[in-house]
Amino acid sequence: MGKMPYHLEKGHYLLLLEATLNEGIEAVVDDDTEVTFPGLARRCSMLEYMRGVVARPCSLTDGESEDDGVLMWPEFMSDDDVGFPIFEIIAEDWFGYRIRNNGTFNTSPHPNKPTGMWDGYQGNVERIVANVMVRCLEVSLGLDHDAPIPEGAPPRSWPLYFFFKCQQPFFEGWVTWQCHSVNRRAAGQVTVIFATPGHNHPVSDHPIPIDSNHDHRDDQVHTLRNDGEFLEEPVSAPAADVGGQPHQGVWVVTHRDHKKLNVFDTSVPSAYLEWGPPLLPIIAPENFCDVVTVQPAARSGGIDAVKPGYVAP
Amino acid sequence: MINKDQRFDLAVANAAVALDIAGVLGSFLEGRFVEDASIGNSQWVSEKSEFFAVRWRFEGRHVGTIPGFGHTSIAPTGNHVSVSGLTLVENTAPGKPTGDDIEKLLRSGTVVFHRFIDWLAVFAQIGVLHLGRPMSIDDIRFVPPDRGTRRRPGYNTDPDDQHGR
Repeated sequence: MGKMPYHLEKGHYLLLLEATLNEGIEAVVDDDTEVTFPGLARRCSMLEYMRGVVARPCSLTDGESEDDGVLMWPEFMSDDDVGFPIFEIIAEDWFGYRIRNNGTFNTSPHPNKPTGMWDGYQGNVERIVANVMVRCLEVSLGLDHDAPIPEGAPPRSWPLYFFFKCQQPFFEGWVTWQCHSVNRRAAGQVTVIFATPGHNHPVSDHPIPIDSNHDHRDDQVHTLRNDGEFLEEPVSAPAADVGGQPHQGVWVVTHRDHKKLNVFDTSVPSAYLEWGPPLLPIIAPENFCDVVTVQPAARSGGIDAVKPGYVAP
Repeated sequence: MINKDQRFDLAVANAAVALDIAGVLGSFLEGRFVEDASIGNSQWVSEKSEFFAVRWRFEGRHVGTIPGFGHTSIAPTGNHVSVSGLTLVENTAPGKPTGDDIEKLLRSGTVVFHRFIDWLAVFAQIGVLHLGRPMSIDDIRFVPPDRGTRRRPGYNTDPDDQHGR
């Protein structure tokens, strides 16, 4: 996650979240006696925990409690599992919390500032995320909202997939689901899209890195990379990753490059009545006929063939 | 009205700006032009032209289509819009009689307008542009932001704001 090189994002954190909740789901069969899989217990644990987060008091003045936030779920992976301080990034950039010198979070709303890195937006992102997690976990397990978590097998065990996408005015979580077969417990999926405001990091206007010095990094956007699993015009969508496990992917289809039109000086002198409202800036392709398909590398928000896996704390 | 022997002056400049502004903004805003005299009169002479500064405001309701790129446009929203601007009127023929037809004078090409208009606020009021300006948490908690007289630059540091910092 971190800096955002392009518009559709997956990246390490959401891959790890998926691994945490989906691990072993491919072993689930339609026999009710075989519905346990490693991720199922963690799903139920996270659901119970997130329900507690949603139910906790929230102060208009002091904001969320500094204890027991969504990042404190006891079985969550650590920064070491991700390889960079992802939890600080989420706490600061997503939730807008400030980290004190002793490492604790100051969760009180910050007047006069946007929440985290979200431009022009103030909101309780953590509470939205907690509600999203509750809803998507309930849907994946076939539970009504706030229904008790069953001791045995839940009605279903659909895999969960997470993405996020900017830019829009508000922070939202979209929980979507698809049942593939009513006769099979695991035949379906839940796809969650975090729709976020814009952020204060540069976003590339071109999906294919411009790498004139061959360092695998875009010359303009540091985090847009052409190493790893980056592919231009990918052909295959493999069913399994390099470890033989069920795989997923993300491709971006767009124009090769874009430019912003119509940023001009509206005070240029003109004659009587020879003027009008400025046209709002518009994004236009450099080449109207040039459309590309790109498989971004994980560090650019894509999915590599070698996925990060859940690491038990 | 002006008479045929009149010279271009601040009164003519004001009338010219009113026609120029209302002629364009009036095509999509139903409202009225208001001269803002709060900065007083200002005029000066350059090497070849004479200039007149006219501050103004146009208050109206968005009732007409605003054209955009290609086939795009902004449809009428019905929103109330307050447009503020400053026009520098440049008369490139100082001392020449204006004649008694101001429309004819303005279309003669001797008068040029330098318009400085707060378009950002216009588009924000119409609702097609997200300004992205951080709001104070007090605004969010208790009441919609006061967009009237209490809202001013630095309002978030108002002593009444318990959380201002």
